Amino acid sequence: MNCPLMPVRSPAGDSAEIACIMGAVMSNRPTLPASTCHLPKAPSGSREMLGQGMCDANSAKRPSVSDQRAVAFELEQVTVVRAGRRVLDEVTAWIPGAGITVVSGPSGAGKTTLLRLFNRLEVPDEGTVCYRGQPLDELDPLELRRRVGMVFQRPTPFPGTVADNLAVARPQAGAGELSTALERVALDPGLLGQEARTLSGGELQRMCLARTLVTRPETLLLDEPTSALDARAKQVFEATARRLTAQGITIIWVTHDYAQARRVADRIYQLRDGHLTGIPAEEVSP
Amino acid sequence: MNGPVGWAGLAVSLLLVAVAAAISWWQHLGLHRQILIAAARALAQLLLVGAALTLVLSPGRSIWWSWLWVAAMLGYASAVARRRAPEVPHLMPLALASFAAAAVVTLGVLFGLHVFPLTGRTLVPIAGMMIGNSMTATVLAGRRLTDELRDKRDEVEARLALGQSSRQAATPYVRAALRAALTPQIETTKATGLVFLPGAMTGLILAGAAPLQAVLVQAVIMFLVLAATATTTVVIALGLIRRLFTPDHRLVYLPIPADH
Repeated sequence: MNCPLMPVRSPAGDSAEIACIMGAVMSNRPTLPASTCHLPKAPSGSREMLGQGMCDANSAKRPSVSDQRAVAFELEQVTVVRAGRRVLDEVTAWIPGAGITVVSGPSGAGKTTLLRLFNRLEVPDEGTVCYRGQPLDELDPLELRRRVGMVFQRPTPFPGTVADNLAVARPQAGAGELSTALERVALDPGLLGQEARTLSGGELQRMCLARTLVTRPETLLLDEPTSALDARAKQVFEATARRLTAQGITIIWVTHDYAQARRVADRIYQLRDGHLTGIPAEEVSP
Repeated sequence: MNGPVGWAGLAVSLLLVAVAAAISWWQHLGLHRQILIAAARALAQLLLVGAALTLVLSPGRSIWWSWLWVAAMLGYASAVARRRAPEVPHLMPLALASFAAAAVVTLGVLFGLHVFPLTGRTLVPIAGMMIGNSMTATVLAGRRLTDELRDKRDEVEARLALGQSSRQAATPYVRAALRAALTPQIETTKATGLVFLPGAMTGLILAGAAPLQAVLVQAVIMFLVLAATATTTVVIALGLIRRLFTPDHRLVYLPIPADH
């Protein structure tokens, strides 16, 4: 079954249309004018800043079913209530299936909840979340979580060596595959035999990223992964993430660090008071 | 009254309760009232149970009355387990299932293979020992597993996020809980005879049985308890996993208990 949000009639998008779509964000109570979306006419490969350029929302249709790369996640009227509070309030939006999308916003805005919906560690109280055109509740959750990896805010090493940690993700993976995973996150493969808990904070977080990569995900969810790292470790992590997107991995990165959002994002969404909105990157403020 | 202790003996033994109460009074522990209530309550309960057992085990009585007694013990032990560990969700039905599983295994071996003859006089005390000893291990295992999954939620969810099933993700914590619950029983089993003389053996010797006979019975009882605790804890742990994770492999919310 296709996601109800995916239009059946839609033609294959041309590059201008896709550029609009990739930045498009909708909410049931949009802060953007209903008739327009402030989107870039970004040339292919360039980094988009929402709010630059204009295109008509009616012509900025969602991509066709056949072009599943264009949209990673779609949310339709998604509401999450926790302890009586509407953490997400009837959010309707879609997240592009390429590059780095940053979801920014103040603490407690629901950023982590949004991310956890995407790999089904949580489920919405109301509404539908789709991944690549399929409602999440129709996908096998174990398979989904291997396609959509997640790195948490606090590094979570398991007992044992770095190799033991990576093998949890894929017990059948050989030493070569584990070494490659470490290299992809700029870690020395010589660390494989080292006790994981003895790594520094930055190394540990990148080991967690490498562990996620062992499942061969097509999309990565990063939940404030550098919040506990120093400036140098942060820089290395950001460079690693950019390399991974160049290798075709879609990244959705949650952060409340606005400077970092500007550094890494291809586009920025802001979550505030339970609503997800696209706003000009340069206007993102704490 | 037949046997080594008569009513007079019982009355004299109350002096020992007085000793405990006196120590509490002397040291200002404020426990003397509780000591007296506990002793009185235990005596009343034992007398009631003795009277009931006299009826259940009287000659010519159907063994079904003994089975009914065992069923009542299972239900009561499950309620006690839940009361002791209210933070463990769904503990009562799980404890009931685990005690029942342990009863099938242990009583099946002891009576099915004719280690003991199946009579009310053997069934009731053996089942009682099995359930009583398993109860502590059950509470320990349930508590430990719930605590582990709550306190290490980040780690568990990191495993789930890698595509592990709830069963796989919970395995390290199930092992830790089972080890914690079984270790005291294993240590007790090791120390038996050296550090202390267990109850069944002491009772038999006091009742006039030959020491070797008492030892053989005690050994069987120890093995029974060992198997029962292993069975109950594994059933509790696996059952809890099914309750603490959703069918789509999410860890349910586990509140921190008030006394944590």
